[in-house]
Amino acid sequence: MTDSPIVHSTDQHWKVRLFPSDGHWHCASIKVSGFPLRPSPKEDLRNMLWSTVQAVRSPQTLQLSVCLLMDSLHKDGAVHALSRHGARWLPDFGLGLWPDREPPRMYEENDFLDLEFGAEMRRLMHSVVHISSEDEESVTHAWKTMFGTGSTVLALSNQTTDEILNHMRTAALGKIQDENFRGFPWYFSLIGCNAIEAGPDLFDTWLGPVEFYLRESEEDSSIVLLGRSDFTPALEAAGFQIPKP
Amino acid sequence: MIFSVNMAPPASPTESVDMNASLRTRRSRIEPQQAKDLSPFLRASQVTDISLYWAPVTEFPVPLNQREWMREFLNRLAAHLKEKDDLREEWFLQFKALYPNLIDRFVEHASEYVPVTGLGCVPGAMPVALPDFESVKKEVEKASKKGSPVEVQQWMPDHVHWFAAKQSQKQRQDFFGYGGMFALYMQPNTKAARTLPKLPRFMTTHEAYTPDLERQFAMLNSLQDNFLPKSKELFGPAFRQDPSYRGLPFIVPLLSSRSFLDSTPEQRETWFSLFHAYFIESKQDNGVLFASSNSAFDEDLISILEGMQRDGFSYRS
Repeated sequence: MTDSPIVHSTDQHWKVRLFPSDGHWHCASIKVSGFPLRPSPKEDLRNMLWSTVQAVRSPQTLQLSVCLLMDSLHKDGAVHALSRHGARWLPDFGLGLWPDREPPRMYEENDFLDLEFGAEMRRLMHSVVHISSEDEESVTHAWKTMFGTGSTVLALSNQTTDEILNHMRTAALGKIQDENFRGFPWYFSLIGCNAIEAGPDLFDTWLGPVEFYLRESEEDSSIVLLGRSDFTPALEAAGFQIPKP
Repeated sequence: MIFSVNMAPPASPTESVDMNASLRTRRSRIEPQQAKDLSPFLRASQVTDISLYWAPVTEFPVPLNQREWMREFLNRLAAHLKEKDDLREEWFLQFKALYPNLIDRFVEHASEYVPVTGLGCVPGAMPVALPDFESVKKEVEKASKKGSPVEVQQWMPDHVHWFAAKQSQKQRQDFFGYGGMFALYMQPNTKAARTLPKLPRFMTTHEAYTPDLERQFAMLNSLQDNFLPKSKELFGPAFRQDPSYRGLPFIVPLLSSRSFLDSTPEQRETWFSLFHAYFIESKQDNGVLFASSNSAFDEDLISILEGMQRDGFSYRS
């Protein structure tokens, strides 16, 4: 998969990478220089991605869900935007989980004793905020406002958010062993390039009824896109240049 | 007469509740409490298996002087229950009470207070169901005739936020007085708490170190609290078909004076198997309610009230 084609698209030279598809899931990533995005490329990329989302969505009228990973919201004061718009967005707190990473567990003594000089302490947990407003304009506003911070996850589904979260809970609880992490009201699956590289087998379990998934993956400096149907025509229509297989 | 101490007329809307003869008989068996000064509280004379008290407030949001008195009372009540019965307090905030005054403050403090969303239920009432087209149409027509906005809250479930981070005094400072807070006073959690390993000094003295880690550990321990599954077992049966049921960490009762007075002793016994005491700001009752499973709580209450009087706290209703 590492030799998949990379091309530069539009004036902004976004690097679009298509992952080989198993016919069931389609995956792509768009390389960025890092998060938070600078204002100018942010706006361009956001507009192009939003056109893509709209195109994917329109034939099926899929329901929009937006979550924010809290890990990096301290950068550039992004958390203040969340606070400022809280009344409209109705943020609800849960736990984020990577299917390809070790499940969360409480710290033990050895976590500190074995820490090597200069090594980063693993985070105890990854809080995720779900924009729970039922007003779709507010959900869209949340994604558009927070896009570029490296925190946004957008999902489209023909089922309700409750049903998506039920599926994600089943997947999460299948992995989490530590009792202290099994009591969260909801869990949200965080997919990055590593999980895509590992192959699409995980996605049915971890994404449940999600039809389209778009995440700013800070760990990969990329935007990650996954879809049950081929979204490359939508990317192309939005202005991205799609590599030919 | 429902609430009586010195037989002052109750200001509560529950005044109109008509009690049956058996309850009247039961009331006559209560030790007379008329001589006891529980002011500003009045004791409900019609339930004897528990102690139920009501205190009036002028309005919601509660005027500042009454709010300050209540907050001081709640501090002392928590300390008294902790000392005497080893009860801990768990505080909740009703989602519907967040608007319009509290939402900004709530979001601002969310990372500190760690609100966990569950459900509140009025015992005996059916869960709020999604309205059909005809009902929505009827409500919209009604509202447009009146020229008022449609009350969409009637179709929303009674979501409740539980503060997993224990900072009750600060939380009351921020949210009490708007008609949305309530508390359960319960036995300590029996599930063993996991403790954060002792951190090396170089970490705790680092300029980037904050107590967030301790708070996160405490919050994760809170999610193991044994009252959470028990609350679903007791109050959840009506919600089992709801798609969100599995994800609900808890379901707790929203009680008014009517709930207490209309329930049977057996029902109350079931409720009080989750908690030993209950406090709620009740808009329905134009005041606050406190209920204790201890049917002889008057002396305890009096000792708290006398202490407050001695320290110069007086309640102006």
